[in-house]
Amino acid sequence: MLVIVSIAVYWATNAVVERSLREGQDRNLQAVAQVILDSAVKTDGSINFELPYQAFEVLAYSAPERIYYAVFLGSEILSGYEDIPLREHAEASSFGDIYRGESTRFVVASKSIRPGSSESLRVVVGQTETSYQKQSSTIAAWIAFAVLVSFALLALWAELSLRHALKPVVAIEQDLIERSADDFSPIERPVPSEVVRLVQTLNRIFEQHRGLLQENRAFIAEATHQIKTPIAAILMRAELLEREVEQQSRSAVRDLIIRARYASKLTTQLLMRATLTYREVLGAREQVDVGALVASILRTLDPVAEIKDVGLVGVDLESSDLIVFGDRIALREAITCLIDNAIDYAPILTDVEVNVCLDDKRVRVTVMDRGPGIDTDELGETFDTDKRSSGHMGLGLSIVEKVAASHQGQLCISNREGGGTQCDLLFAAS
Amino acid sequence: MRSLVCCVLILLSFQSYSLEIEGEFFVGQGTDELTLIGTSDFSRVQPVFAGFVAVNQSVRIHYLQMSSREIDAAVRSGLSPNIDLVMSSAVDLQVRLVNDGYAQPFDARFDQQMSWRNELVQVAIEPVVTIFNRSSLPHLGAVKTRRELALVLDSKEEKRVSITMYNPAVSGVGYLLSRQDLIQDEHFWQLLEKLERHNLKPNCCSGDMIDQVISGQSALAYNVLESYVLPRLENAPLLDILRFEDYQLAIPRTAFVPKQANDSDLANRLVNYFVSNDGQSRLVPSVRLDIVQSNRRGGPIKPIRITPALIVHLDETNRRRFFNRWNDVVNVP
Amino acid sequence: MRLLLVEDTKDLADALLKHLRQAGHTTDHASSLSAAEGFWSSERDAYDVIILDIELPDGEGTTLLKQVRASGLPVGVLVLTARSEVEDKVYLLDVGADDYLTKPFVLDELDARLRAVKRRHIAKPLVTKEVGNLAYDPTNRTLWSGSEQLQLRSQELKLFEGLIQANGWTAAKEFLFDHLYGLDQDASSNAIEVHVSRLRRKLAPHGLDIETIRGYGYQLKVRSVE
Repeated sequence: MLVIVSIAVYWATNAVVERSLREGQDRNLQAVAQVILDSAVKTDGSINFELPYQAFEVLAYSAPERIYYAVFLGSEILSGYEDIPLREHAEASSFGDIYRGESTRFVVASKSIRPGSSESLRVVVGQTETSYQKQSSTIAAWIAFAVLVSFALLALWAELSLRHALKPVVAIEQDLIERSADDFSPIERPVPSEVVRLVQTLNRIFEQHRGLLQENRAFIAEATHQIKTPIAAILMRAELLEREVEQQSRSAVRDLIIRARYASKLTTQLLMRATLTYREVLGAREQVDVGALVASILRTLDPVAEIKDVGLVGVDLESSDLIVFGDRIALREAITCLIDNAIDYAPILTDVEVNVCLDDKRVRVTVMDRGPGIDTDELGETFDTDKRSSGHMGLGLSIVEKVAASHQGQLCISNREGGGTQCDLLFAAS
Repeated sequence: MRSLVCCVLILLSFQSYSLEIEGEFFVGQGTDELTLIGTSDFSRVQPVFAGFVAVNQSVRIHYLQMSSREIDAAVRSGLSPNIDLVMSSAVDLQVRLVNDGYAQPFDARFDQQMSWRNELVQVAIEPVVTIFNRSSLPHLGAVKTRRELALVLDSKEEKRVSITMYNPAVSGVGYLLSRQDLIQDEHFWQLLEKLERHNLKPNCCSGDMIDQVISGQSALAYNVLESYVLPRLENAPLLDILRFEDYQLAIPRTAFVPKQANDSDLANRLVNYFVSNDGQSRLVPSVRLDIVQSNRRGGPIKPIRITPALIVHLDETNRRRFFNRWNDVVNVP
Repeated sequence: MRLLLVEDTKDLADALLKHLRQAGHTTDHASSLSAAEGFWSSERDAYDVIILDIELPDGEGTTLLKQVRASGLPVGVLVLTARSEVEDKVYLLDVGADDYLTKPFVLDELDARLRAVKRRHIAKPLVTKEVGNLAYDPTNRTLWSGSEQLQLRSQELKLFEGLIQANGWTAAKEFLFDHLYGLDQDASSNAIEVHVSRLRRKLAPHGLDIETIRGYGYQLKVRSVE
């Protein structure tokens, strides 16, 4: 677009400048021709005239061009360059032609010598116009360039002023990008009147979302409290009861305890899953030292393992390059789930082994138990529900899978040589 | 060093056209021959050629010395294919040849004061002075302008003396100088009338006029080439130079490369060398280009401008008008 | 142990109190934050561990937790929470809880965590029994490597005590079995071997070996430093 404009400007300017330069050149040539013509007098029957040095010098001074002249009486040449192509331009007072291989302007001045005679004295003065043309195209090029630059500056200015005008909007955009997923506070940045309504609308949406989210979280917390506390009381009373009842009723109480525990576990996991979904929206990521994380989990779970008289062995947790970029809490919960599950299924006096290592740019968390393992038929199936032959893992696997998926990770479950299960949880190392 | 000199007037045949060649000279022993024609005495340009050949060992310069008219005719008759460079002090003829399209542009870019169209460039300069015999004209020492010269010659005290100057009808240089005098000085015809009132005997050449003044045959010579005068001063105690303060003419010696030059590249190199400090230093000091800027006695040097306006001097009508007037003033026997 | 139980749910509090007192712990009970603050301000030096519910009718349990930590006293705090929201747990640890229990929990786990929390706040006594590079504190039943406490499970601790009772001689396997399980408990016969191997693993970094005397028992040996 700009190029087309520039070409058009160049072309138009060139034409205009060339014409005005040509007019100027013609005037100069005309003046010289006229001086020669005016100097012509008839003495002793012959025509006498003078070619004025100074006039030619002025002409020459304007440009380093070749100069030609000729003086004719009728068709007879009196002086000068007789091959000037006058005949082709008989009636013209000025004309351009290619003469001696160069584009040349000629001007003709004439007057009749004798009254009534058709014979006239004609003076032709010519000058090549190479430098005029060059000058013209140079001027045109400069003007086209100036136009181009002006346009570019104008465009730049427009861009800058637009950017300036949009600055508050861009700032709001940046605010929104940087805002954390659970930040629903209103935008308080001062904005120009044009976008006030936009910001008001955004703030209203924030307000509504914040209300909904808070309601949701409050409901979960309340539900948790409402469900778990009575279960806790039931469980505890059942346990106390177990110690007091007769031997024959004890198995019924035991059954009650097991069911209550399962209900409690399911509740916990259900709420955990809801929480993790919410955390995924938050997108809170950081550098997590998985080795240290596993060591901390093992400390927390050791009393649980002790109750079951199951050993809990952590291997190689001190390596410093076991770093994953992720949500620390989600990772903690997933690994806790796996180990907790392994403790649940590990037979008394066996060990649950946990180790963390770097495996081809991935951090691998391995949890191994000597439990009953899983049916090989079911290996490779989805782990939405637990398929372990004895008991249930509840929603545990679903939680682990969810965390693995949100961290571009992977969960592999296999049977161990010599019995038991091995769970490998892999995450991309940071 | 003159490597080969043959200084004979010979008639050389160029194709079917006979040219009058005043001398043919060679400088250098290389295989790349550079042919140039020029008006200058070989002895004046030989040191420059020698300097050029010294740094361009492969070059042999072939110099043909001719009159300016012969050069003009040679170029116009289409003999120029054999010629690589044309160097002449007849600046009017040189300008007309370039105007008529016989030259090609130089590779180097020359100063506009020194060149025209970058096709014709000034390579040396010939200041013009007036000389007189101190015993014949004892009162002339105090003269500063042409007007004063006219007054002194007009005074009753001066006896009638013989005076000489270029005959414009015979000498192209003389004609050019007279035309330039007319452009510079509107009273030039009056001055001529004063000279004529004594005994004006126009002459063909600077050398002859200097001889006449030294011998006392002529008391004064108007417009002679300074470079011819200076070497004579030492052995001619009565010879004195008059440098006018109104203006001092100088004739540019110019060069161009003909369109059909055999070896335009070599010609360009020679021209570049000629105008370089090294080349100029090999010329006698009075003809070097920088003489224009130098602080010398008398008025400013006004070199004839290299302008296409010079072609009007060569126009037959203009010549006729000039000689009509000249013949009215000067009583040529 | 002297305990303070802060729990507002009556059913749960009753059951817990019953269990803790049966287990021999002197336990005070507060059913609100203000009551708990009352107990704390009057008896602050008395408690070994505070079992603290977070959701209280008149405020957050963390208020008391912060007071306890600000006092600088060696009191363990075991937090009970019904919330399973993980960030809450992490937060509780950050503000100074020693451990937490998510409701519902089993009593065994409560006991295990109580023990662990108590041990965390036991300072190394001036008089200890040196065993190789380690120091044994029979009063609080803790084992130290320098100023650092070794985390031994109760079975492992009992085993260790059995071994040092042999005083450099071999402890008979039967003796150790009785020491661990008492006469009336039935346990699998290889239990001793398992515990020995676990204890061995924990002691090995500190220059102590448990040597197996085939067919008879085990002997605790200080590895000679070359």
